Amino acid sequence: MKAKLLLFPLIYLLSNVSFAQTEMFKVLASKGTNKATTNNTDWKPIKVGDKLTNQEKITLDENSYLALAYSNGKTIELKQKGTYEVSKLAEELKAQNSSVSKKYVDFVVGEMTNQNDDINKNRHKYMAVTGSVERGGDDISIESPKESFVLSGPVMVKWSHVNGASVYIVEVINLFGETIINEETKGNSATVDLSKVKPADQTNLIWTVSVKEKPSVKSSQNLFKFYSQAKSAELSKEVAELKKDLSQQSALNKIVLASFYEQNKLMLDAQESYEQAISMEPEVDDYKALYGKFLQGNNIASVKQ
Amino acid sequence: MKERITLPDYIMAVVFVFGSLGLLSYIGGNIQSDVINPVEKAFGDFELTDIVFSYLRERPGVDTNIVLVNIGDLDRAGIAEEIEIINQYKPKVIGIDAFFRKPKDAKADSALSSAFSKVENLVLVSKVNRYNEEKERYDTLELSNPIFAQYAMSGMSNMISEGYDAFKTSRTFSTRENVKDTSEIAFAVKLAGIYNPEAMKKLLARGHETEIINYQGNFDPKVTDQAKSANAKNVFTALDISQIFNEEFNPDIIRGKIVLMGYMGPSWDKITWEDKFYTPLNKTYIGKTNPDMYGVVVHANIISMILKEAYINEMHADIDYWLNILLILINIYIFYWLLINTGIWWDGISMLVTLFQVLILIGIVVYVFNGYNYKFDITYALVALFLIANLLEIYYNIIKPLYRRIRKRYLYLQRLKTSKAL
Repeated sequence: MKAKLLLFPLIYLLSNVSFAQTEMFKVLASKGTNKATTNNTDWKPIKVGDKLTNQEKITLDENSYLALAYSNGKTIELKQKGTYEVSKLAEELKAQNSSVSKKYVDFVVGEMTNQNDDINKNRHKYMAVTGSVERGGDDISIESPKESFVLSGPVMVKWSHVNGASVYIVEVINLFGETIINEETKGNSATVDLSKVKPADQTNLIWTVSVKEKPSVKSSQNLFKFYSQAKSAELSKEVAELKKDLSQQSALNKIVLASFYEQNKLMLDAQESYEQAISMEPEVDDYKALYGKFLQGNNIASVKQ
Repeated sequence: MKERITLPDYIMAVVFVFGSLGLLSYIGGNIQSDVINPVEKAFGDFELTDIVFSYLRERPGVDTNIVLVNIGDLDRAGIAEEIEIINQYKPKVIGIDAFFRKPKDAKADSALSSAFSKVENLVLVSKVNRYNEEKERYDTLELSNPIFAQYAMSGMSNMISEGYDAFKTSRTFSTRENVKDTSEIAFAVKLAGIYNPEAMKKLLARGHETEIINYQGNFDPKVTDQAKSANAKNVFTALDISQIFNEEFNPDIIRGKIVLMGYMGPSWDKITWEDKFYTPLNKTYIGKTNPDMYGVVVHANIISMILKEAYINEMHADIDYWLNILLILINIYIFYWLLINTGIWWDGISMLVTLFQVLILIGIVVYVFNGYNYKFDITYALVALFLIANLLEIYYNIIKPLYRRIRKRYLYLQRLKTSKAL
């Protein structure tokens, strides 16, 4: 009698698993009403971290969003209302080579689906928060990582608006106090073109922001750090390959790019990529949470914020 | 006459049960089920021992070693004023859970620096940042500005918690972390060490990288009748900004004590969830709720635990594993004996034995944790307990007869082969 009773949950469990099924995609981000089925009748909501197999079909409602990572490291975003077959989606990505991006996609998969992580064994991942408050900040609060490696190219820096200020001055100086770049801007961000910096000056450069009308109102000193020329060339090459791999302009690809930058301590580039991802998909909370972790790790946001 | 279980039969039953549990565990880990997911999510951050913290444990009484002081939204000049007042009453040590990283207003900075210089023992928070996986140490130690830090020792205030847009409970803390060529002791450990060096030595002698926080209680100014709110468990004396400025306190609560200053809301008239953490004291421990404890109160709990030497010890993972295996083995024997000897009573008896054991085992875990601060995990044994009776039925009614039939057939064929050869 009881053996028969046990068969029901067993059949139920086994009906969810076919050993012939192959895991194709991992769900990285989900917004709206997204469902999956193996039998066209039993539709289950899709959640971040779910694995989708080749026998499944997925359906998206209006204004829904689904970001998926394929087992070879390729990514795909679904935004259009409709029904998709997982095996067909996999076919589209199968032939595409993605050796460079796979490592970073895997990293993002780990970051976004770590609900079951052992918090004590991996405590260093969970120690970004202090709960301590800050008293007496700067006149101009910098909203970019205060210390970041940079490649020779444009980088964006940001700061908080100061009441009454209309023009800001962004100044980059070398360690001898000589001005390398001095630019005026009306907004509270600026793109600093570091390709203007001569190779001889590519060591550590200090950048500050001040209010033109009140030069005494200024930010802390912040640092652009340069890698050696060899390392810099290697990274630039890797960035180019990665961008080629992730050629499609999608929020998920921006997140993968951000993770590459973050791991290589190119924090300003990482921030820009995170923000681009969020501006592309402003309603996807999973991306905001990931960006939140980045901001906390770089002391740009506190628990309070 | 009761039927006995032979050793080979028992071994086969054990192999079958463990094999089935392994298979079910594999399936459970690889499927996404509508039934399992919401439950898993709600219970994901729940531990059996949370019941002890939030409901069972009696209030330990007020910890008079520590007094909490709210700094609210005070600026540096305001904090300097608070410190000047507090310092008149000669606390043993003052700890401030706030950073003062940049020089700001010269007058206020000078006032704060001057107030700091008069404190006999001052500890300011630090933050370890940028963990280097290769070197297995942090690259950066963030401190307050030297104009303030020169009068203070530092202690790391990093919490082990997801913190941002997540609701993991803060259960443990790191006692110390390696930073560059040195190491940084936790803020609470540093304060406890100044107050009672022996207590700190005992903590560090335990050699644990992380310790489970034995939460003593919380602080909730809204609760006046503690008997009606087990969740509040006010165990720390706490002073709001106005109480400090108006000196509305008995000097004895400060003299020779640990004064812990930090943010506990703008004032006690305003409820805020900002800068709070989830703790096991939270009465609503299943599903999402509001965070319940300010960071500074978490530090107070750690200090209190160190001073009382009320540590929570955990069973070694290997011993825990073998304890689970042993419980499963015992239960396989018990249920198998019942299966072959209780006849028509089997269904009822096996159900009763399962429920009885689950209650007893949960009771033991909770009792040992509550009474002896000792934690062990028998989740595997409990899950197995629900399945063993059913699995043994399959083994006894299907697998065993099938095995016998196959064996009989094999022996018959063997005999046939031999007789033909002869």
